[in-house]
Amino acid sequence: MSNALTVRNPEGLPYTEYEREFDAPAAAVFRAHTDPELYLQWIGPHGLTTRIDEHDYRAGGSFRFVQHGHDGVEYAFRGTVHNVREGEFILNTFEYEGWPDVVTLEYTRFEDLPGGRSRLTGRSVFPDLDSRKRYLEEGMERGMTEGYDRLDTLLAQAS
Amino acid sequence: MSNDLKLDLPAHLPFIDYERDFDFSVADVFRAHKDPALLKQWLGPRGLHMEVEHYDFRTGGSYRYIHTDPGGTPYTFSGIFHTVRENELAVQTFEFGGYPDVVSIEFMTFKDLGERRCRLVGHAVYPTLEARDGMAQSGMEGGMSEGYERLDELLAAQRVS
Repeated sequence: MSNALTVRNPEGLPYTEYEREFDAPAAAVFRAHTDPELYLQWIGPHGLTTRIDEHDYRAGGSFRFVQHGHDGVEYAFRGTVHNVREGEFILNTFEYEGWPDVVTLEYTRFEDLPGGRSRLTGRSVFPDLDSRKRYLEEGMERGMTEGYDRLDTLLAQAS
Repeated sequence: MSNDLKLDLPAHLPFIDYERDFDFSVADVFRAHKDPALLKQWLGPRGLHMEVEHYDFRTGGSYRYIHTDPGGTPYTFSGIFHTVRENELAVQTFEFGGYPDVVSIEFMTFKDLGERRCRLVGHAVYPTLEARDGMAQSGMEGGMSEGYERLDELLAAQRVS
């Protein structure tokens, strides 16, 4: 598949940097993040069902969603939205409630590419190196990869 | 003085770590962070005027305030509160309007030391090392030290009144 996820974990710095291209314009990829009806269809790995409790992607807004698999075990995530620029930029905090107070800062940028395509560039800022390690060991990259693959499918259906 | 601000800027990590003890209860120090009417009397260096546009110190709240220096130059700061737990913890974002989109995340832990003393422990993480260095070189340490001295004075004045 041509639109692979690229992930960089710079040695000794508490960041994860990632990039993913889409065969859809930036506006559509942006909307799939801010519209709860779209977001719940693609966020996270395969096999989980997502319920959205709150999804207010405006500066000062908050979000919370809960995912569960066939075993019924729930995983809840929440955060607050520092800033949003339509079609371009989202900056939010993010916390897996199972690891209380391990809060990250998530920069997401959206830019158009020629031919109706676009690129998403993300930067996660972790509170320390140990928490990044913990996230990576829990399969964060696989969850992102599968989520963006599901987003591809969703964008293809919409177009 | 034993309550001096302790600031640590690790060389290769984008952190600002600090610690400050107070001869006041954790509830007093927390309240001085929560109540904007108190906050504007101590936050930042001496000689600046502070205007609070809004300040909602609770989980999911946000804030925006403006410091104006004697020459009339305004400095705007804004962010959101990811978590606030009474007398215990605040996790917030922080952005200086002069550097848009350079946003840090800050963890402030309030610890009860008993005998009406407490410790504030801060851990701020910047999106790049350069951003952390820029903040460290902006006179931040002096501003924080003076701010906490003003906080001591404010709480002492409240105690006698």
